[in-house]
Amino acid sequence: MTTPEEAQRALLDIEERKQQSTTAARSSRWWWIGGGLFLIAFGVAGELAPDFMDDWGSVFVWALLFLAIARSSRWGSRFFGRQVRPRLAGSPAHRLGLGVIGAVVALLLVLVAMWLDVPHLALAFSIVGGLLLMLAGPWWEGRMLARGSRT
Amino acid sequence: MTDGVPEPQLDPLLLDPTRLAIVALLAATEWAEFAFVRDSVQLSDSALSKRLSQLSDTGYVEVRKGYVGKRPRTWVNLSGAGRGALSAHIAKLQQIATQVNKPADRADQSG
Repeated sequence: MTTPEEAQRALLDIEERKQQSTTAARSSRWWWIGGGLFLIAFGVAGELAPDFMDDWGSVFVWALLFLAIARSSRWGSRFFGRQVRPRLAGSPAHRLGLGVIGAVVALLLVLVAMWLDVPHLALAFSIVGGLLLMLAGPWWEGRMLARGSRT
Repeated sequence: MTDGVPEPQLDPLLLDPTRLAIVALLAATEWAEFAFVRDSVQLSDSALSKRLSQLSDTGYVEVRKGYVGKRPRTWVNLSGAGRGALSAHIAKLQQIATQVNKPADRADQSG
């Protein structure tokens, strides 16, 4: 027979354990800072050394894409020192849909900026994107993990 | 039974605080390393293995073994059945926990 007090204690313990996992699944803030700085450096390099970026830019992009996918696997998580693979809210199809919407919005923003003839467009995007990664990345990750732990 | 919806029940397997702690830890993850669960619930390797076997036998957790480099690793995941059992267990606990406020509510209303 479980008393109301025991039930309350068990519920508190469940929440604490979930919080423990969510904290373990969080990336280090340095990942976000590093990612943001890399994006800004990518944009600056595109302005200062366009020939070099024409040759090597796509290599960097593919390497980063591989890194991002590898990091989300069990082996990748372990390799990067994360003992827990995070649980994200929503189905993979739902997350893919949100990704596609994000990509379309980003593309529309680029097209509008091109139409307005914004100077140094790639540099502006890399700086805005980099700062967004550094400042909003940890908050966004925390929010996603908290939502995932509730489902 | 209420309006055809089954009443949530406490799961006998999750009445053990250690097993409940393991399942709650796994509920917020996709896959967790054996070492993370062991350190979080402060159990020895053998004690955790025993608990995981009990949970695995009922289909609540999945256990996979593999290698990272040359080192063997074990990962644990809460299955759909495990998530369902935990949800029902939590629903019942919430039901029981709210009973503690009911006598007070009634006293407030009468006063």
